[in-house]
Amino acid sequence: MKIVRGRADARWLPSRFNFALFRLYAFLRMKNAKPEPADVSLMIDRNQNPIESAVLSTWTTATLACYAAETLFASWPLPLGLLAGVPIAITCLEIPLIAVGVPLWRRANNIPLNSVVLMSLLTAAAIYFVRAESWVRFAAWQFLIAVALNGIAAAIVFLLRGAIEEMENGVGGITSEL
Amino acid sequence: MTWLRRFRPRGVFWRQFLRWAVVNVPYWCEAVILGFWTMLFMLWGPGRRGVMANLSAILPGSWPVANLFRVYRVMWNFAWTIDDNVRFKELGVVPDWEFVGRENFDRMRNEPGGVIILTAHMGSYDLGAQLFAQMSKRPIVMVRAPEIDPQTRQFEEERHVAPESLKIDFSTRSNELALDLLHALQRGEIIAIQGDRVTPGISVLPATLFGRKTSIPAGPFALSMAARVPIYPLFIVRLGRRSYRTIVGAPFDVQRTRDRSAGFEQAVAQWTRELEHVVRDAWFQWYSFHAFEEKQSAEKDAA
Repeated sequence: MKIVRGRADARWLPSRFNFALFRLYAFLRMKNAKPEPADVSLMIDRNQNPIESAVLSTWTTATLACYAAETLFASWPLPLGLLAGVPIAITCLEIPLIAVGVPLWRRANNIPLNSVVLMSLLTAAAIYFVRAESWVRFAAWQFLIAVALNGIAAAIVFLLRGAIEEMENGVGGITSEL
Repeated sequence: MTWLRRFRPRGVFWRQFLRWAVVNVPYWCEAVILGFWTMLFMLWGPGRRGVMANLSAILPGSWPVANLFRVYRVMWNFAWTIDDNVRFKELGVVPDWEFVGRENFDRMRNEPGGVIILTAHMGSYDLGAQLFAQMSKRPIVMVRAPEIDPQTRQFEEERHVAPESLKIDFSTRSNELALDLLHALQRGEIIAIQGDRVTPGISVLPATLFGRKTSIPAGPFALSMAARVPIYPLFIVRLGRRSYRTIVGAPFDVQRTRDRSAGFEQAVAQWTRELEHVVRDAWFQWYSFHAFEEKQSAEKDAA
């Protein structure tokens, strides 16, 4: 694992982000960031950023809560239905993890597989709900638009890979066995 | 029933379940899943009541209803901490670190003789010790309470992958351990001990914490006096997801005078000042699930 020491601004290195949209944003932030000397050790790992993790957690749960409110609690007042949809949404996120993770419990790391399965199911659910006539189609649309934007960002990040690598080498850092 | 033991709060099922979750839950949805499962911790009555009692001492005048929500915050931080610890062991994922008191840290690393690190049940002390052992040139002995449940103990021992320079010893075998630790200090090793919680069967010293009478382990202070080595207060505070701060305080000695108790009293007062200062700012991650004031009354009852 690579570690950057003494530079707090390295928190914006694109390699510390997972999804292309966030990587692109990080690239722009880092490009305009001034060096911030600080007594820190920052790990270069693609899942290190807390904001990305929080935004994606909230976004996927909120989208699923919309689907749950529309299908299970349609007769309830909308705010109450959305609230009741949150635990249902979290349970729905966990079902595929159990379906994949329990049979494959001996494997050392199921995270990449579960990530692909979960994102595919969320996209399939969005394609299903986008055909609805009620308000829930907007929730499904925003999900599909975000997925499409991430695809475009992935293409841009791919084209910028040379500049990103140059930026990351410029910050320095050490490779550690940690 | 023996089979049901595994589902008790300290049973092995929860360790296995945590390990399974760490290698299965994608990073981008872990926050909500962890937040959801943290609610289960709230069902642990003794732990919840212990934190509530401690919060009423740390935050005088706080409302019990508000403290109930604060307990959730403590449990939430605890869940992240044990998650980070298992993630490091299973997947080699290391969090970000920042240092406060680097000058004390460097001084500690360059001490010619042994050193005692006095720490508290805050942040990820397990993870901190592992990383510190990899950075340090000297061996570290971490003293901790053993797992009560035999299955849990076996599970943890099987999965224990510490660097060679880190040795873990248990506070229960207090008599032989004291001699072993004394020899380790004389060899110039570093001893890390938690000084905020008393386990049954160990020697204690009276202390005042947040204006309330309590007891703290006597071991680190007696060792410091016997081996003539300094005590460095060190705290690991969780700042956020995969982010920790190491706070290293100025060292202090246990003075050798004719009046031993005066020397201990002075050192204990120094330690509790440091502990109070850190816990007051980071009460949401002091993982002391027993009311610290209760210990004193329990001892009086026993006497």
